[in-house]
Amino acid sequence: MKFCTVKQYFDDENNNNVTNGIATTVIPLPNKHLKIKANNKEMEQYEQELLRNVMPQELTKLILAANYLNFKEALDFFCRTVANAIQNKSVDYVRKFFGLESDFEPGEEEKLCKEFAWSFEGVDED
Amino acid sequence: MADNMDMFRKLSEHLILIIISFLPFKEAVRTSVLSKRWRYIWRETRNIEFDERAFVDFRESQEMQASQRRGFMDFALQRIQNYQGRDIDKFQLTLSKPENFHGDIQRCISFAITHNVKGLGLDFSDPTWAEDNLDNHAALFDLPLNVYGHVVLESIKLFSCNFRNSDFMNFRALKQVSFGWLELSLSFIEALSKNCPLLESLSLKKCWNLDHLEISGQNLRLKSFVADNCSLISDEIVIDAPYLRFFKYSGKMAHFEIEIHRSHMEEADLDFGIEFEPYEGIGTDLYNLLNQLYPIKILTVCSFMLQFLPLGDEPVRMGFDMRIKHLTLKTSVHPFEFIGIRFLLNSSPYLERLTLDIGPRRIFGGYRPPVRVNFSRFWLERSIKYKCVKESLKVVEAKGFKGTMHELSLLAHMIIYGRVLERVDITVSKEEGGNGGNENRYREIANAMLEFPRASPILQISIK
Repeated sequence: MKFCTVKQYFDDENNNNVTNGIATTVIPLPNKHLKIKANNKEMEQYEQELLRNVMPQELTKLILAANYLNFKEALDFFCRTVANAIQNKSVDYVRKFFGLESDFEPGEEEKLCKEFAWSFEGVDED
Repeated sequence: MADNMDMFRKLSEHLILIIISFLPFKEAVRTSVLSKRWRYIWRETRNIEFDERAFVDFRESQEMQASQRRGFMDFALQRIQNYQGRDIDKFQLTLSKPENFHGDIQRCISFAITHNVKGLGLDFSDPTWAEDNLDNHAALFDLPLNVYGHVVLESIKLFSCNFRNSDFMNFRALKQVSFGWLELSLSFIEALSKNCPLLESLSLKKCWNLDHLEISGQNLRLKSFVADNCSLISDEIVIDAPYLRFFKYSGKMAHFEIEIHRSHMEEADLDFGIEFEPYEGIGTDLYNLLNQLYPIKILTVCSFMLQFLPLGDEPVRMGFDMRIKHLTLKTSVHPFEFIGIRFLLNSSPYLERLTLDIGPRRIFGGYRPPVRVNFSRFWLERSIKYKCVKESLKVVEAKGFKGTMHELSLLAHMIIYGRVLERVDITVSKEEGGNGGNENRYREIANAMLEFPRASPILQISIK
């Protein structure tokens, strides 16, 4: 692993954004990844555990860390985990997940929903 | 909440796009209504899938469907015309009745090629074609010539789309190949294996005219092989693939000769649901098949196998301990399946997860159990215990639960004797049954299981 990049990351983020939790999750990742790289089923289970135990904002931190460290496999993995978490969920659920608020003009949102009506079929209610 | 907003604001559009790229296209489109910031990001996704099933309702008249299909193609064409990004990773088009859209389909395919696509999928099969009979449907579209020049293609899926065997050999970089509803020859499959040294995954669905199936070759690096309801001239399946990890087979019983390697082979899914003619000796053949797949850790079996596996020379268990950790049974929890279930539990002393996929299955009236059994006491017989239930089984899932006496007694056994059981997850069936059975009734019955005595102090039972 790129130790100098890692050290730099922790020095940079010294204010408060890096917690021990992140370090212990991201750093061992290369080894775990290498071990289970070939094993889709185990990665699936790891992903389920991650989703169960880790809050959305922690997941974001992991994504940002993986991005900064230029660790493509981890980045793809965490992004895919987020994608799976929001799949087939209602717009409200996804907004809550990302902490978004609708900033559309009144009527703009309805227009969009109508334009893409076909994509809204078969969605989970919360 | 505020914490959420702070954190996610830090996600650049580049990162949001990566997340969106993992969503199915239909979901990616939906992200446009989340907020102004998200409105247009989805358009840059490098995974583009156009599936007519989001637009076409197959219960409508043919005229209505044709008109919906036209609307779908217009949407696809408009999207590709307005695409702003440079390269794309994956392009998939699913459209039945392609004969009316030749020009438009050509435009879509050219778009994909000029944007350097790595994975191309064309599915022109018709959802109304039955999968479980022997009808073959001639393909109505030919892969355009300009595709054969795109030699960097890594993944290709062709369903009911003809192609030229010799030109197909241009694609030497292929890692994933999936064919469906096509006439194929064994010599083509052999040539493909030799021609694509990077080939990792091969899937054949509803293909016909193959003499038999033979997957072998020096330097074959194949990791995954799927044969789904193909019709073979002679029922013979020969596989020599040292790197094979995943094998899935659906179809009639065949003569299997499988050579794999213990450090790679992980998972098998065997479905003989279409079989209706069990022959003398089929039990032994099923045993031999499982024997050849000896290192697997994950196994999915069908009701046919549960009924006939123990009818061979070995009625009790495999001759060695299998390494299976996750076992999925496609079952109707019918007494004729019990001895087969017992056989697999006996053979899997390290089993950690058992999934019951409950549904209607073909039960053979002529079935005769190899030993005398009392089916109604089968799972509650105190003398019969399973090592895996006592020592390793952690999770039991039952999907499609209807609260029959047999379902209850099987699950009761797990709850009462499962010392290390952590979870039992019940999902009730949504079907209405005879005898006034419905979702609520099934849930009532499932709730009764909460009162069963539990061997495991940490057991959580969930009912959905």
